[in-house]
Amino acid sequence: MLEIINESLISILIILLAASFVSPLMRGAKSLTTSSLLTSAASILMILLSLEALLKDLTLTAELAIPAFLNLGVTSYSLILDPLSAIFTLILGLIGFTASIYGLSYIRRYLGVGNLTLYSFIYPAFILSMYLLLTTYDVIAFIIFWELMTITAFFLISFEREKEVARRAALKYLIMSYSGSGLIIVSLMALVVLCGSTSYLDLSKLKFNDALQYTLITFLTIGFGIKSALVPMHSWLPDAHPEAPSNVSALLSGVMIKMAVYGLIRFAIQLLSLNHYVLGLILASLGIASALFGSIMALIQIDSKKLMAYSSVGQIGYVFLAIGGGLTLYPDPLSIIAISAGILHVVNHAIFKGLLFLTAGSIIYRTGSRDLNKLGGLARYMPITTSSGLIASLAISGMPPLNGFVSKWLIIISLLISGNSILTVYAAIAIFVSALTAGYFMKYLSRAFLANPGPSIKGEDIMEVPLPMAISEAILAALCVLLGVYFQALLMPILRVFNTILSVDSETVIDLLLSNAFKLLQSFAIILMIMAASSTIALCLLRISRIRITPVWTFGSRDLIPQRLSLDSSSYYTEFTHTYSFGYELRYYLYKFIIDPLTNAFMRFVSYYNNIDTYLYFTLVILSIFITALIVIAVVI
Amino acid sequence: MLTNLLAALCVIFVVLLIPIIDGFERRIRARIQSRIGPPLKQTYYDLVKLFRKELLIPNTASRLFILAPFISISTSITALAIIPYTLNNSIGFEGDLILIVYLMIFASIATLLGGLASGNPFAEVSSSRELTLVMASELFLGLTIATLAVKYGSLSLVKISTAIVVSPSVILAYMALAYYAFIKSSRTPYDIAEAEPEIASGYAIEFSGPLLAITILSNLMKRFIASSLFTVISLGPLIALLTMPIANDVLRISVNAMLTILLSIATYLVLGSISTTYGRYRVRHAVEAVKKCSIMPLISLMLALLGL
Repeated sequence: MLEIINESLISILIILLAASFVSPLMRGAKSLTTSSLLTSAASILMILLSLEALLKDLTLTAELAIPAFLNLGVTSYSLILDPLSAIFTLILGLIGFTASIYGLSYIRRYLGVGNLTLYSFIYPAFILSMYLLLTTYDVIAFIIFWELMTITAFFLISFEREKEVARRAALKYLIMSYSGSGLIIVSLMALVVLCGSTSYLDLSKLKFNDALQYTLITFLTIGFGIKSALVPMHSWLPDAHPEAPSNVSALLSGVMIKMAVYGLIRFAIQLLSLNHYVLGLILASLGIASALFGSIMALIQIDSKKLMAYSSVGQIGYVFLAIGGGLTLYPDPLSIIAISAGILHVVNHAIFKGLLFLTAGSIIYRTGSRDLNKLGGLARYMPITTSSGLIASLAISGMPPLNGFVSKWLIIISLLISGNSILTVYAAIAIFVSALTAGYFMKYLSRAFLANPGPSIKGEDIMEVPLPMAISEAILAALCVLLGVYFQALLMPILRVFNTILSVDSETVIDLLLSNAFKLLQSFAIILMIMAASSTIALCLLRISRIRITPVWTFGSRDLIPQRLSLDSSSYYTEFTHTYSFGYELRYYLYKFIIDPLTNAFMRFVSYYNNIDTYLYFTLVILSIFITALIVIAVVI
Repeated sequence: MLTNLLAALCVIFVVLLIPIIDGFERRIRARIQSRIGPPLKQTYYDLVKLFRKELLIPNTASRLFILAPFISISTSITALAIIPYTLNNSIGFEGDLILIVYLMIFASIATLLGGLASGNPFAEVSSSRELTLVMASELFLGLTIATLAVKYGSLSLVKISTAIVVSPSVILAYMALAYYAFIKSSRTPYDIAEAEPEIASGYAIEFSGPLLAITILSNLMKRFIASSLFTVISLGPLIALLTMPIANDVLRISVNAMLTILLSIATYLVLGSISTTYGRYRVRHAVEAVKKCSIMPLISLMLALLGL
């Protein structure tokens, strides 16, 4: 039995390769269908395998023989899925499955406009690169697949190549990602040279002096921080994520930026176990800055996908706040809870942010618009999209008993009762940030689905999205509720994973958590029971009471047409943004002194040579200098 | 078991009592404004009358319009059930304070969703105002909760409400909680989201009959939750100290429950009578007032971190 499971690791690889290389041979819609169906099949396998590894605490391995004529110097390549990778392959499988099914209908809107063959080649390759990245135990392979992920994502972001905005966003993404991966390559290569082996297992035996340790912390934080869009390295994300097709945005926001979380945990924490306190404090500070900054920026967006992109910056901030906070508290048993809560938030965020991008995509599919000023009133025409959008928005705002609440609750309590003064202040801000999240997603709900229809909404041509899209929305919405009410299913395995990684004596904490979780479940049960009771009452009420349908009441005046009275989405929170303007002033200085000079320097450099090759050669040179420098630091000091 | 039963009884009692408390508040407000005021049971009469009335549904409304008030009242009832009126450990757990905070936000949001689902533009204006206030007051509350967490080392309501800690930071935090209850009660000057003369009750504009009754009840409950939160946290230690000599567990718990509920009602009425002396803020002034008052929990958090 176990052998079959182990071999399935390879079958995922084969299916994705087939999807990538066979489907482009067909034409148009056919290639899209083949590639999407094959990818979703691989994703289902991936979900099953990750659940197997995660819930049973197994490490699955499969050997792949490399033919001798390739002359790579190695005879076999092994795929290894341990419980830590399984958490991330689980979200890759979940979002990969729903996004592929969704794409089945959604990408058809690009028929004749976009290059569908390119999409059906790149899309499985993108998922494959992330899958391989997660299942390798080899540093060189990690770097190769990291680069593969970066480059495939580039092609997906620039999918609508005819649009200037998309091209620019993709280029910005590529440049920033490469500077990030440059730092990652430098640090990992230096480690390989020091250690003399490329295997993860040998890497963990390394011992460092302080200078190398702090250099590594800086390099890895910046390198992975760029990929996961931590402030102030986030500026590619709000440009790039909205430009991709919506199901790809779901993958980018839901999964790709989480790969950096995986990289940091794998290298900085598990293998190298760098100075926990310093690394933790840096990550927590960057995390709370991202949470706050992403949220106040999302508050003023009028583009639905841009709002979600900024919200991703905010939510990834939560994740890093939790992980960093946990590391700072190490070896306090609370550290395990904080980190596990952060990882739970990774899973939860993948689900609801994926879903939110899908709903935004559904709106684009039917109305062609993502401008919140022009939308509105879609609830009457698109009930499934509306209810899934509603559930996802409530979940991301942390409303009990949905999944977002559990992770936020754990993050906040573990940081607040830790007694660490810096983390206490951060946690107080985190409570504020979660109210901001509620604020901007209520704006999204209101302006897209509930409030009065804008000028471009004509009732007759708008209806519910096709079945594949509706199904994938419904699956994710159901997961939001399920993982909220039955959160221990994932929380306990995650706790176990980090218990082995950090090896803290956490028996007492887990007992405390269990009793708490039980009480929390009781209160969820109360909520659900009361909600069920009251909705029954609501149904009865509809039967009993006399109902009259009336026009909307506008002070009895005929001149006041609801559409004309409607609130502009840019003026939703003007009073708030005006009063708390210091947040936006900070942003002004952040851009003026840090982000803009850096971006401009890069852009000037690229446009000066006028092609990206020169830039890449340049990075190569810089990289080699950096690697030499690092090794010198390690050896001499 | 018996204590759980008592806690459940408390919830039912409070839900039934809330309209009467509102009756008292209306009386007091009338007396302050030199009027006679309605009978004490007026709110009951209103609610019963509303339940019998016909239900008007706007032609632009979606299904959420009918569902939302029920979601709102469910979350309010749950929040009431979690507040430890009995000052006893049976229902509380670590972090229940955070759960109550989120439930209160959920209750507000659910009501707003109902209003928004009606398709009335005034509801939209009102929801933007209410959320503005929620966001501003959550910073305020976050700082207050952080202070409590630092001083008590716990976020369990029962632990906070039975431990006696006297220090400047805690007293400031109590004051901040009282002010939070004042903001949350959506009375004047913070009733910008309802503002009858400007935006015709805002989110409640299209609610009629039974739905309006439920919305009103849910709003009253939200007010009561906010004042009980203050009472349980700041006056709970005193009550626990007073009833310490009572040896019989059940008796002590019942006396505790009676005292906390009575004091919560008193807080509710005091806050209500303070609010009569104010006019409504403009939206910007309301946010600015909350922002300025955030200094209070900020100072208390700093003091707490300094060990005071």
